[in-house]
Amino acid sequence: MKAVLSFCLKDLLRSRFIAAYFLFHLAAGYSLMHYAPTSSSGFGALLSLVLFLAPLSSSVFGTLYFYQSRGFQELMLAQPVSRAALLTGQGAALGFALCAAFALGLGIPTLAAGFVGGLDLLFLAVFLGGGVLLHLCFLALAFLIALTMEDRLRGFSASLVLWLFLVFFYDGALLFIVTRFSDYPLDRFVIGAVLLNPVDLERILVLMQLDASVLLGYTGSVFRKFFGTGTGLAVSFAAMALWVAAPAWLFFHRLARKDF
Amino acid sequence: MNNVVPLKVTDLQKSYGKKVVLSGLSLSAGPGTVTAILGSNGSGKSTFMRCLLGLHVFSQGRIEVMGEDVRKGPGYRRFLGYMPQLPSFPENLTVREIATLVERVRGVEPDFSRGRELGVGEFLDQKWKTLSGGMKQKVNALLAVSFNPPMLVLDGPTASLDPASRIRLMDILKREKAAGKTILMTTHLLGDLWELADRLAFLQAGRLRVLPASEIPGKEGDFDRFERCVAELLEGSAA
Repeated sequence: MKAVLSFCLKDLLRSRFIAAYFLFHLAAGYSLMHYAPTSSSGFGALLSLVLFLAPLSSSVFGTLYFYQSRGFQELMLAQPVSRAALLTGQGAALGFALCAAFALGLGIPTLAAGFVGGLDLLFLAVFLGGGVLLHLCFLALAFLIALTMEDRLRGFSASLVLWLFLVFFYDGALLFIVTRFSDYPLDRFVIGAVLLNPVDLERILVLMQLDASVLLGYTGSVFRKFFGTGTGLAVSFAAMALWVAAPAWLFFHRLARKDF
Repeated sequence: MNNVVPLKVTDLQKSYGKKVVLSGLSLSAGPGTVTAILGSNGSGKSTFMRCLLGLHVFSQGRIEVMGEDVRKGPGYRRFLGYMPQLPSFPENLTVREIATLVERVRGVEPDFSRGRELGVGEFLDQKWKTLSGGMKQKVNALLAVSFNPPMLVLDGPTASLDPASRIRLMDILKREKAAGKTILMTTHLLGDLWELADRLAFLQAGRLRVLPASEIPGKEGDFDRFERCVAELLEGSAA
């Protein structure tokens, strides 16, 4: 697995996409932190970017990468290497490359801005750590979809539909339920619903750290009570880690029976 | 290990859903032999090769490579050298890096002199994405033979090679055969079979019918006749 990981990583770090991904984050991080009136508003804008782009890029690149490396997988699987070791190596290399491009691209300008304006390191860790988990979660989902669906077009479409659902429609549906049933006690339901969507988890976690819960109205106070605490933070990160582990487990479960 | 049959397939069955592709397929191949698997499109040639390589999970039967059951893990693949028709590696790696990757995975020092005449040395430091189809196939051939495996599995090995490279590869394969390697191949180029194959295995209705190549008219000196006979046998297996 180590050989596959190191050589796949070498390949990815030379790819134009990873370089462009890093440079885009670097430019976006620098401009938003530099031109935003306050660091909070700068982070707010960066958060919107991360919530939109991290799931999209992981879904698209993860699916494409899996399909494009089918020939390589077939060739390597004719060598004395197990399926799990090969795919773990490939997935880890892709995950590392994407997350490094993201974390360094945004980390450098936000840290630089922090040295000037003062920065809460815990906040930065939550912001970047959540972003990294978001990348890994959608990467695991993309690999699972690509493994399950032989047809590239169907697999690619399924990845995009999942991204659309979790990034846009899920919140709309949740908002509809909260307003429609506002007379009922929905605290637990809302918290549960947020835990079921990694994009919402990252959003709420960062907003809580930014102390912007007031922007969320009624639900803001509910979130504040739970996600604003140390336990809430730990539960949220555990839930995001579960969002990576569950599709990864399903992936390896199916991999054993897969006809390449 | 000396008395072990390099390849032994017993009662192999493989289905895709309700469609049975291989049904009770049995085959064995000894050292120093070249067996060509032939059949019409969709007859199951690729499925059989993929079951052997561990790419497909088969429902029943047994495949043993050098006495090792292929279901007991990937270790048996150290005995195999594989050449697919369209090889693919990470596009930003150089040929040298690809060779190192395969070397690390196999845990064996390669002997690149086995395929020196393929001329891969000229583009060792070129990235995979800059190579032509023929150059890729040469790298693939070199990797298949350099680790000195006792069995070679070849899927259309000369399909994308220019005539001079094809002749060189055929020479290498003849040498490997003479050195006692067991070679299993599929190809649509009957010239390759004429030169190399000892046995032709026709895949029909999920089973194999194996004929010694020497029994095919024209094998000794008349390629046109050989080609026509094989084509007729193929049509017969498709019918």
